[in-house]
Amino acid sequence: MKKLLYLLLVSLLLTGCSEKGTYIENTTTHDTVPLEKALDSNEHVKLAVALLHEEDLIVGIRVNTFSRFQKKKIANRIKKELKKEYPDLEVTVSADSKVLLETDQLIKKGDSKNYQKKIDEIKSIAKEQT
Amino acid sequence: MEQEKYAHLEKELSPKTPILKNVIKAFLVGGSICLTGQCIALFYITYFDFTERTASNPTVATMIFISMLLTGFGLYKKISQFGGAGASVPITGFGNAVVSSAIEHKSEGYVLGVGGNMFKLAGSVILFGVFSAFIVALIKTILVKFGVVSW
Amino acid sequence: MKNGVLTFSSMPSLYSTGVTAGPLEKKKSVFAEQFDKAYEDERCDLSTNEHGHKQLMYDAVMIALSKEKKTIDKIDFFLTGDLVNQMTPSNFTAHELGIPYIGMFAACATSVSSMITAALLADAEQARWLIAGSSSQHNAIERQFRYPLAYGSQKGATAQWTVTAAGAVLIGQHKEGNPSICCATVGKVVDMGMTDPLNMGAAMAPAAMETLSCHLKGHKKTIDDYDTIITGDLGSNGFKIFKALANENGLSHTKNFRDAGEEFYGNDPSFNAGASGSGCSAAVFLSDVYNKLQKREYKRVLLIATGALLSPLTYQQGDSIPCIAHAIEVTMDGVSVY
Repeated sequence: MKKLLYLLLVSLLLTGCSEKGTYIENTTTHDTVPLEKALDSNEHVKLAVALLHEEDLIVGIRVNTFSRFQKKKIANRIKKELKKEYPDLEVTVSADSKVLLETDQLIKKGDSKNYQKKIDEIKSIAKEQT
Repeated sequence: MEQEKYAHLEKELSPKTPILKNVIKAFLVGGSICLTGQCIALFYITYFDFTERTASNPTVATMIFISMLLTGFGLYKKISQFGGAGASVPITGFGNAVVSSAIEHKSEGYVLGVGGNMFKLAGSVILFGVFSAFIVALIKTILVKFGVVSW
Repeated sequence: MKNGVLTFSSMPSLYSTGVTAGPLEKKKSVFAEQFDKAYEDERCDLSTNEHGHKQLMYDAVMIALSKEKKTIDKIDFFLTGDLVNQMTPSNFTAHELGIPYIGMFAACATSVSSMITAALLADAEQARWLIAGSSSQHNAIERQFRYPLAYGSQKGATAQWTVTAAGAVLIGQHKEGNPSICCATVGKVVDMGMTDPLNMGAAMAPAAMETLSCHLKGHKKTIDDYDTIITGDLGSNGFKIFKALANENGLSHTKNFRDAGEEFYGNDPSFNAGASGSGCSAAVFLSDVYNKLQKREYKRVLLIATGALLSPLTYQQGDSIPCIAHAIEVTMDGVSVY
């Protein structure tokens, strides 16, 4: 019983740190290399999901546990950086897990016809919390 | 026998408070309560249109509802006896203080009994909570004005 | 100077007892089998805790009377007390019974203080039959002295659990073969500067010691004269301190010491230091000790009930807890040693 508990605890701790990376979905002709670079080079970002569609760039990020208190600042910094790289796109960056979750779901569904409607929804959510 | 001498004897014989044990128990109980809260918050974020920030309201309401049920069935008392501060500090402890007073004073009627005594224990939490929030906000406002920190 | 030491030359006797208890006591108390009646409901199926408290006392009185086939109108005095504000449960019981009534208050020492007063009245031949006793009800007392019942607060190992129990005893003129009250000692209020209401055993132990040494000195007795010296509700912690104090006072072997509060729930750790409340000493003295006297397992006992004379107001204002202890000696020996 006790061993099982330890096993559970250890696996919980391990899985807590395992998800890492940057996922980008692009339906536009823009180059994603600077975006990837911006997200990967940021030491606070643990996980990022980005979607480029028509006029929009949406980025949902998850920051490291100990950077959580500054997550808004981090998101704003990334937003500024990306605006420089993609001046003709409307950039939305949020550290709220809801944005991350929704963006991820949207990409996974792969239903590109619905993108615009959903993107507007996500943008309003991200705005609501700022 | 003088008081000091007796106080010395009493201290020697009375069982010591097992602080380390209590702290560990409080950590475990408080941690599990917060874990439950986190799960509920995630539930609201995933299945409803709540963001991380707005999910806190329904989460708190749900936690208080759970603590209300536990108080009514007399279980929260047992959790508190085991967990100490771990059970009193989270919002569930606040809920417990309000609900237990309300149950206790029901026999005196709804206005003078329940209404008058419901915040008997929780009243000081509200007062000092609001007061300390005010102080903290004041300090932060001053710091922001001087440019030490930003909002 | 009398110094609180009393002797009853006519040796009033105990005729019968009635002990009632709540559902938790029925389940957990080691004395449960000796209680006359235990309720299934903490409130005795009544609407409020205080009504339940009153019912406990009332039933205890009626049981004591029925055992001796006495009726209410034969009783001259009713002496009882409890811990609720203004002792309303006792007052309401007295109203229901309609017996001339003196309310007694000595906190948890009421069981003995009421018996002492009853013995005095009987000894002075001012009464033929009297009822003495005391009671407590967990819910009503907890709410009075501490937090609401369902409120979660961690209690330490020295905290005690207020019992739901009542004890009443029928006292009358001396009768050969009945347990009889030969002497008593009225205690002084002792305050050793203890302030923790969750460690009342430690506050009350010096009072018990004071009364015990006063009694031994005043009546020229030693602890070996008693088959048992039983304290009311010191609890495990207070009892430990009491024994240590006895050692310091030259009473080296404390084998025959008992404590009703410590024994009440059979040292169950979930009750922390044990039982307390004015019903605790009354219930144990009038069931276990009384039965053992009748079975002649005990020939002479000293009952020392201790009471912490605090109110929620006084300890919140930072006052220490003054305590009192009263002692009464009950014996099966027909002839007084005096």
